[in-house]
Amino acid sequence: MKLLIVDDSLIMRRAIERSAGRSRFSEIHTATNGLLAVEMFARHRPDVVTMDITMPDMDGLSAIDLILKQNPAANILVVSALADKGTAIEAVKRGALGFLLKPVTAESVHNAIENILSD
Amino acid sequence: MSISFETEQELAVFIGTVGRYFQTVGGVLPDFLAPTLETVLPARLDCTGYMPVSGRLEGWIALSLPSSLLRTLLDRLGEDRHDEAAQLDLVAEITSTLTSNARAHFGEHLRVAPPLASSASEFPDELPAPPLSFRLPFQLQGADAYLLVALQR
Repeated sequence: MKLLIVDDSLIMRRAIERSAGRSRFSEIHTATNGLLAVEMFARHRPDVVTMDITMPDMDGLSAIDLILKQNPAANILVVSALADKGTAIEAVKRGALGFLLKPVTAESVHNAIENILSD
Repeated sequence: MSISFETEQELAVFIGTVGRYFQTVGGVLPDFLAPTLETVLPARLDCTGYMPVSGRLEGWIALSLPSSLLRTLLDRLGEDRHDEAAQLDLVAEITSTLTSNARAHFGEHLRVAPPLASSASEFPDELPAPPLSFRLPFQLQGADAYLLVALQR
């Protein structure tokens, strides 16, 4: 299985990578903004995408739109600190399968990814 | 100088977000000290994250932390990189998280931009010093730190 982690923070990308579990994913790719995420999705066709919202160049909501145009069945988990209901509703309305509020723990990331894969 | 009612409410919001963050990631609640009003930028600690804010409120929010505390937090995250780049990345991420979490209170009126971070000697040119801001000092695991909220209506 393949995982794509999209976050502008190196420390967050590495933390999510550790939490997701290397044994679960044979390939883990990363992107630092929405624009690169769309390119990486096209290139690697990951089974799961974790997506931050606030990023430079292209935000996560715009990237979700473009990824779902490529594959309407893409499994996208939003991992964001934006705590207003509007952002969470908007992400789900656009096609994200889950919304995880930062700060996250290793356990919460692991469980959220497992939930998406089991659905 | 007295703190206005709205500022007190904002202060409570940020005390809540700072507390939640460090309890989740650091495992303990910070000890909050008395907040102060600032008319000039206070001295920055080793690493400072800045988050520009626009919308109903304009300005920025900054979080200043010592290296010792950032190294401890990196450890708690299971991170083996402790260099300055990792510390600046983490302080930017924490600042972004605290500011973005505050949207639970401020709603979409609080528009946020990607965070910046700098070491103590630097200050980004694009961030003007605010005429008035409040500083929320706190202590965590024996280290002094503070959040600076520089927002204007």
